Amino acid sequence: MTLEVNDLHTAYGLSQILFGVSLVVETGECVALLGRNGVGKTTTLRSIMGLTAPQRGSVRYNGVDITGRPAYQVARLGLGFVPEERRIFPDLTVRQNLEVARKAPATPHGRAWTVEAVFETFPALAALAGRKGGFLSGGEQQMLTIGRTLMGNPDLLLLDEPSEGLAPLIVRDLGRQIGRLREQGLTILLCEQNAKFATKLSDRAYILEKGQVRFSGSIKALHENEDVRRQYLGV
Amino acid sequence: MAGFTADVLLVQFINGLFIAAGIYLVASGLSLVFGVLGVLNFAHGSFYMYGAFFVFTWIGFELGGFWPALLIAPLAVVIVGVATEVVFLRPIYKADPLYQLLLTYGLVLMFGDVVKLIWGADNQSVARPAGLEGTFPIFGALFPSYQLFVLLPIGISTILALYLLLNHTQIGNVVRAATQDREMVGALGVNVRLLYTGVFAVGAFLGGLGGAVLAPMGALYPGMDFDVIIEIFLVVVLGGLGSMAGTALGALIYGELKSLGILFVPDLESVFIYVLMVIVLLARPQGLLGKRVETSR
Amino acid sequence: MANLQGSIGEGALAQRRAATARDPMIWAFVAALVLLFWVPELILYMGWAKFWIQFATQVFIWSLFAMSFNLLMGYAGMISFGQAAYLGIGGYTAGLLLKNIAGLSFYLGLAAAPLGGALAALIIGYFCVRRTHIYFAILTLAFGHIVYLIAFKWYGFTGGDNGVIGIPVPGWITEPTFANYYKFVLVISVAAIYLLWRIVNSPFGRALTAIRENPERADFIGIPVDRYRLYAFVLVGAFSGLAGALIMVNDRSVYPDLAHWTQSTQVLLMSLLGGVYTFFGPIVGAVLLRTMDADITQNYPEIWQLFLGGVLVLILFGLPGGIVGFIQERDIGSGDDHATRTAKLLRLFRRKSWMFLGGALLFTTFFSILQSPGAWLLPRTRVFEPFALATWGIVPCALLQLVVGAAALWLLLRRVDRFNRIDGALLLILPIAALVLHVYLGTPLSGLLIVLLWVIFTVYSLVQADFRRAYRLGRPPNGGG
Repeated sequence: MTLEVNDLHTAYGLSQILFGVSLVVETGECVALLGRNGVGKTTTLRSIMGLTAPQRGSVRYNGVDITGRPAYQVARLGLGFVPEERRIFPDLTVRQNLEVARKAPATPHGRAWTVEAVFETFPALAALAGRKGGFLSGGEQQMLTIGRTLMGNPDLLLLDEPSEGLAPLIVRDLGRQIGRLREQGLTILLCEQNAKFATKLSDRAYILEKGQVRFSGSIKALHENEDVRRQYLGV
Repeated sequence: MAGFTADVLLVQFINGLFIAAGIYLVASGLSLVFGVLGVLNFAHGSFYMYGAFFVFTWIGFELGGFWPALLIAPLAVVIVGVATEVVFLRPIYKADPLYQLLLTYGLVLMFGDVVKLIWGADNQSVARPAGLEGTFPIFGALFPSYQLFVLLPIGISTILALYLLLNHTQIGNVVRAATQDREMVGALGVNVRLLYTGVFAVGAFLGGLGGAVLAPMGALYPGMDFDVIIEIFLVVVLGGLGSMAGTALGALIYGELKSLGILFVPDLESVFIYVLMVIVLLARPQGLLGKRVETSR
Repeated sequence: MANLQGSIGEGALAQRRAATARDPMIWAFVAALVLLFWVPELILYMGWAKFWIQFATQVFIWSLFAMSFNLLMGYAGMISFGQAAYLGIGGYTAGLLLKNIAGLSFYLGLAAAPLGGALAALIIGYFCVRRTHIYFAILTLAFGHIVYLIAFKWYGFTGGDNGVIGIPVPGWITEPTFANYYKFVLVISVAAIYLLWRIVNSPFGRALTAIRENPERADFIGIPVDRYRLYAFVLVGAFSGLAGALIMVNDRSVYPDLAHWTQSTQVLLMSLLGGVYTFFGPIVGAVLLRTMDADITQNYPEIWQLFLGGVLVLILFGLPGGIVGFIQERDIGSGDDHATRTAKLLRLFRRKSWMFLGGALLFTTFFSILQSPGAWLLPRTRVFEPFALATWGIVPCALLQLVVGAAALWLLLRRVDRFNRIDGALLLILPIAALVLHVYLGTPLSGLLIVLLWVIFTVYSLVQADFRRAYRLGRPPNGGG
């Protein structure tokens, strides 16, 4: 099972964001997509997910061409998208937020996600089950967003900036939880500005700059390449 | 003015419930469609009119009379509604709300003349079903049987059914989520296009049901779509655009005001509701139970 | 639109005052006045029907009404669905005054109409203008309906559906050719339209546009949003009242129909048809709609609404900028490079050609349905003859149009890179065929209008350098997207 993105060009109206992004995510991997703000990380995920149709290039998942397909079809193939702005449904309770996303797995799973299973993974949510989504804190909302996407039993998780705007302690918690998901066999494509956070979780990394991939390689290679880190990540 | 006994007030109160049930049946579809799709559908009045005229046609076929028509006429309206949604509304969901309003306005004009072409410009009528032509006594007062045994139960069960459907089912959760963030619901694997068509179909069904249920209670004429659309706009704005509970409350207030207003100002009872609407909108621009404060966008 | 913010600064304001003081447009208005003044003489000299004088009078009144309405819709972005209310109030104010007060000066009665319209707009507008967009639309609709109901039901005052009849007007109006009244209306309309022109070009008018574009920002830069919206509403109410009174004088009677929502629809459509973001567009809309009204209402009154609705839907999908707006669309994508720009124009042209064919087909089909109702496959009364279209049924007739029209368009649009004489001839044949069909159906005026629209639309597109280049240079790269 793989995600293969090839030469993606995407624009919003007249302003082009991506200029030929290519990347690969293999089954069971956690791949980090790094880069500063506004380099096209979110657009890459949106293009993969079918939320913004690319102008050129292709997205293949398990050998199936999903380029430009509507998002709901992509989701039903087993891709789960966790958006940057969290976008929980504010007028629905936590439990309802999770139930909305319930969906049969695309491929046979060991165990299908349930609301209770999400509460086990994110214990903080269990106590808030009856609370409206709009009244949660940032960290709680982030857990809910991830939990919600998990309810769709995805095989591949597209995580967009999960650590953004969260306190360091909460980020550490979140990192642990994402790590656990990985161990359970979920494939993850993790977009992050916070390179330290992302590299701890990932096997490989891509670095985007101005809508193009400027570096790709293992985390080890990235750590050894100080030039790249200084130039594109500011560390 | 002080001479009214409690009896008279009670009678008028119950009559007000009848009016409320009727207007709620029609208004609920408009409210649902606006709440979920964000489109204020001018043509909803046309669905109501088609519901009534389809009943008229069905009775002409002599295939079981009035009762099956209560289901068949709304279903026929659903076909019209789905065609409307697919052809005209789908391309413009992202457009300015006013653009959508204008478009559905154009549809009202077209639907109206199609009625004239098919059924003629004259008034038509539908007879009440057998056994319900007369009246029924409660507390010594006589009430029309049809209103009591058909209109009111259908109105109340519609309120209950919509409430349960929206708040206590999976599909209801999804629908409410889609009103809050359409794109995200799509990314979670829901076919939002289909969902919208479905919701529009339910809205059209409710409009058609309203027309079908109300058909035996008054004349059917080509301008009835426009008369009803103004009334249901009032009800929906009064209750709060997009709030289903608000629509029920608005319908109740509308019915009671109209019914009790006759006692006090026999000629101007219809002006009453306008005055009230103005007061409500000055005090609460979003309507009685409307949540979203109107933005300038 | 982009230069709005700049124009609101203090310095710009003074400059603008100076500029408007010597507004060259006044000469255009004077010239129009002088030219149009002699139209009745021309009509009489040529021996045409006197109907056309009355027709032209109506066009001017409706132009005035539509242009003032467009101040609201196009400039201030407030779509009123109940504008006929002020038309009716103007008509009733002047009518009732003249009828009930013996010896009241005709001009005084007429002058009361805009005041009546303004007063009603002030009261109703007070409740409506704070609400924006959809709420505003619903409220104006509801209030418009109240006004209609009052006119319809209050027998003691308005005469109910019997209307007010036999309103006294001076003798010079009722002279048989109506030429005097034409001139009277012409002078008033041109003056009022000039006034509107000055209003939309004043700082106030620019402020309204700023409010339409972004009410919050307008508020930030110190425009009293609600108050200005109310001013606009009242102003338009006054102009509408004036138009209502002019219609009243024309008929020497008033009926509740004047305040009916169908009139609101017509004025809305005139603005949309002509182009809401243009000043003079509504005139084009008024001319077109009055012509079609004169033509279709006479022949097929039962489908007038259907026709209006169809036009409305077609405009919204096909020409959102209206006709005048479309002509101004040459600036489309002006920031792009040549190839992109050409591609855009071409796509626009293609899309609209199909839309046009669809629209023409729709209407001619409706007309043929009415011409021989029930004759779906074969005519009922006449014997089928293959070479006489009149003996074909509705469905075959529509299919024929569809096939011929689609084939012609396909030929025309497919070969953009080799546009030649045959294509040119096709461009010519299409509208002529439409005209023939309409003449046959008994609605020649509408046929002419369709031809006119087609010509405006096609010739104008082809005259443009970019288009010509597109036709010669061939398909631009990446044309379909």
